Amino acid sequence: MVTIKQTQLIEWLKNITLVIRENKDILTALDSEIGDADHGFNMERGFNKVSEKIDELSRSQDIAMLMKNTGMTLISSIGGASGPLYGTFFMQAGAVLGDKTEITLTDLKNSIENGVKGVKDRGRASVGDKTMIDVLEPAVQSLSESVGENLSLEQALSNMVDVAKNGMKSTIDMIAKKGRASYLGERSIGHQDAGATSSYLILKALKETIN
Amino acid sequence: MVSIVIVSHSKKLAEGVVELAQQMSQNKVKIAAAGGLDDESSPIGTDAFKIKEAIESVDSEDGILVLMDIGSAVMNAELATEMLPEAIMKRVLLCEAPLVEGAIAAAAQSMVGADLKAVAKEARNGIQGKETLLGAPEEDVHLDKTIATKGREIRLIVPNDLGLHARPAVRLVEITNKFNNEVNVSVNDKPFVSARSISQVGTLGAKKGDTLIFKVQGDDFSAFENALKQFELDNFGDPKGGTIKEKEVKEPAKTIVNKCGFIQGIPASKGISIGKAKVLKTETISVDEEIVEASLEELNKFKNAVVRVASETEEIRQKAMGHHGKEDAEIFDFHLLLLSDKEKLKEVEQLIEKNHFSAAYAWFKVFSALEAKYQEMSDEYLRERASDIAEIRNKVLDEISGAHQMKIVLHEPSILVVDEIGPAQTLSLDTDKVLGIISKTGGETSHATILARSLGIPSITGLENQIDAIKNEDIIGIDGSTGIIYLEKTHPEKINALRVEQQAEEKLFKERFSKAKLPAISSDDVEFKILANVSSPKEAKIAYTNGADGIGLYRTEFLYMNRETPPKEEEQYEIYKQVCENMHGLPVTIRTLDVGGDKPIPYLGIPEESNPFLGLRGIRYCLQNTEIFKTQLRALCRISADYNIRIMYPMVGMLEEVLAANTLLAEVRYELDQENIAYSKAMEIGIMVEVPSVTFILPQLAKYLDFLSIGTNDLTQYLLAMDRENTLLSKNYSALHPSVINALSKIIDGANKEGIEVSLCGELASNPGATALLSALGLRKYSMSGPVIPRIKDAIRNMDVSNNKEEFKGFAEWSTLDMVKKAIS
Repeated sequence: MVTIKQTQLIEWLKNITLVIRENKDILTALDSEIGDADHGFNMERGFNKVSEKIDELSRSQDIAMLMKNTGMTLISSIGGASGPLYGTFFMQAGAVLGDKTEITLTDLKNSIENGVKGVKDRGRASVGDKTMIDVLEPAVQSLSESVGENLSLEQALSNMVDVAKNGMKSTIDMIAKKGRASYLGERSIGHQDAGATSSYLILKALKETIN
Repeated sequence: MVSIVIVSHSKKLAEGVVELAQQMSQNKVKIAAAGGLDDESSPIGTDAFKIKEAIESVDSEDGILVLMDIGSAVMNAELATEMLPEAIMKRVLLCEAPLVEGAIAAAAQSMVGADLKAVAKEARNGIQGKETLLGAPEEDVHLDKTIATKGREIRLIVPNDLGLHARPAVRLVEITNKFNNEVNVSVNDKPFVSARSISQVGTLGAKKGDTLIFKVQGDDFSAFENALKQFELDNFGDPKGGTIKEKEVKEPAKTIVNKCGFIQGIPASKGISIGKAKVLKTETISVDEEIVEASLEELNKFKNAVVRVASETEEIRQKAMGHHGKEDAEIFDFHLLLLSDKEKLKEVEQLIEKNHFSAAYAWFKVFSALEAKYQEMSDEYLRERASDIAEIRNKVLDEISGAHQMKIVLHEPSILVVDEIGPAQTLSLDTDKVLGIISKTGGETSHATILARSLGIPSITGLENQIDAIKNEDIIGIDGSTGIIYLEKTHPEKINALRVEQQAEEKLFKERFSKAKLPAISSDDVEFKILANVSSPKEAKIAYTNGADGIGLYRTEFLYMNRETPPKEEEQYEIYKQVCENMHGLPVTIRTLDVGGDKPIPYLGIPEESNPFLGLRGIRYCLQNTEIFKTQLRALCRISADYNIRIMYPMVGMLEEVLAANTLLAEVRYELDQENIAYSKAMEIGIMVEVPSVTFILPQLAKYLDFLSIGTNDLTQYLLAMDRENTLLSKNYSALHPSVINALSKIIDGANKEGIEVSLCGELASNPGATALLSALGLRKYSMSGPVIPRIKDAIRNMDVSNNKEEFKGFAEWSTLDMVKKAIS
């Protein structure tokens, strides 16, 4: 397989909803340890909305619109900080795709890279702050490398998810610098970040949809 | 002016902050709330689109300051800004100032016309007031202690009772900003602060008598000094004299209190009562939940009502502007704002459309909640606005219901103080809680008064603007037989005297009450029947315990009021049955629907009449709306199978009406026969004698009737051509006029001659002085309010009919009302 088709991305969105639903309690549990215990709930609310509107979203004229509409839906339905963050991610991810209805690995890399950049600008977080960036940034890195090494789409996605998983685990030992958890300072050490976890789940869903 | 947007995870918080800030800006600054999510189960969160909309809704050339709480609020506010059209985006400033303090300071600063930067600066400084009060760590206080104590000095003594509170502080900043000076101000050796800044001026906490020291650098010194002097002369914009609360200011005390210091009204229902005054403008009105399917109609009703009240309020505002000046008119500005509050109106509309609530209930629900919100405010000024909200709420309710049909709910025994009270309202009162009713308008025979009498509630009416002298929660004493009201705070000794009198009255009442169920026989052995006038099963019960020998008048129209459709046959049957049950087999005379005149029932579709008392009333309506009439006749016929009832047609003025009504009755009976439903063929039929024309055709009528019942109230009104509700005429409106007495005599004689029974069910029957006169005229059957019965029976037992005849033999020669009154007193 050389490209990812728009219909596959729609499948991805559906799968994210399923994965988030499955892991809602885990996300909330993670968030309740060092945050405000709403991440699982908020994410589910957001993606439930996406799944509710999936028919409408499917009619988007190209992938850029699909991503943008998904982002908008998340912004107005998640409620917590993940709303503007994931909303921005999807909107920005779509912004570099022109009118494409299928994308190559390079397109995918550019797209996710731009999405992550949006998230960083929005949340003003960097790697090491114990946030979703700790998953997303290495993932972009990995995609970049895969493009350079001319790897297959399947291989690239697989590598990306491995790296993302490590990134997620790395948040356990970090001190939170952003969000509600940052109020806890050192006490946030020892807990995995909920946002990093949901980011990992989303990337993992992408791999599982395509491969 | 710079607009403000408040972003919060919580809708309530955002709206609350807006409310606080608007309070400061006197609603002059556009402030919008963007709080929460549209997710009912979990409304906490922020929504970039909501924020975008809020910004657009208050867009202003001068800029938009956005204040937000934490986390996603910040990110969503940024996102929202990015989504705005560039022209608007450029004038948006996201500000890190503390939400509540920042909003209040920003609102005040924006109001005085500051630019976006200055407003943001003020918002950031908003925290200073609290820091000063709570004594923040020295190094954290941002107050610049080195702030210039240079410049020319102006000293000003705070003249007003409340000191430099929020509103005068705003005005002071307003004044300062008008001139091109650097002004710093201090009081009681506190550090100087900028007089241009509301948050800083607010921290001064200057009290009455404190000296404000201004240091002024700039060109406009003398102009500024003059403006300050004027401000001082104006008592800092507060009303002068006494610790006046806002509420009292708006009711200029033009009370006419009797020279002796008491209040004199028209006595309406006997009895002495002492208790707490409950002024019915506040929380005492309640509307029951009601589902109405015709939402569109309700929606129109609601919208029209709001428009009408708004234009009425605008008119009042204009007048207030002319008569009492800006200060008073401002109160109506607030009223108008309430009436144009889109969000609240939308809320009401949604309750009507989605929940199918009646317009009255939806409006009541939303505005009562708002009122409660204001009542809980810690700021006194805001708390007092609650009564404004109640006033607007009630005005619109009045408009929606068309008449005064709101239910009054009292929480403790009180004396009700109302502008006007409707019959249905009176009937809905909890008799255990209402110690008395005093009203601004109304007369001796308005229906509400009559009902108060039948419920045994002491009542005084026609107080006009004297009523303003009575404040909520005042302890007052009222004497329903003299119409005098005393306030405890001015006449404690009179209140005590009333208490003694009340006890004596109670003793006498108990004595009479113990003999109430015995027959009323005069000392020369003439037996009288004393019946009761009632409107409900509740009153029938009261009548029975008071010794009524039966019901002489059961007014069924109340069964038709306060609802959207006429009562069904079965419902009527049940209620009539209850009344009969409560009378334990004694005869019950039931008057068929007497609608029209002062008893409007919207759904009956009686067109607006230029002269309703001469219009489609009583039997006239029923004969044109036979379906409603026949339903009632059917219920009545069915009752007649098991109970001793008689039916009576109201407002009969000609024989044709009796014949037509009897034809309909025959039809009903025929139908019942067909259905094998039982009824009594012996049920007696009578009419009310209230249209004077009847007097001249008694023999013709008597052939078709079993009894006559004289309604003196309407008979008097029609004989004298005098509206009984018109308070301007209430002095001369009396059933004791010689013309009325002669008419009564003619009717009683005529009935006796024709051999049909005659009774009297008007208010005249409960006047003990008139009892003797009426006995002399040959009347033996009286019907009156239940609670009066023991007293009248007592009076009858103590009189001698032949003596009365002797005493009043010259009645036909009486020429004036005064003469009659003298004769019977």
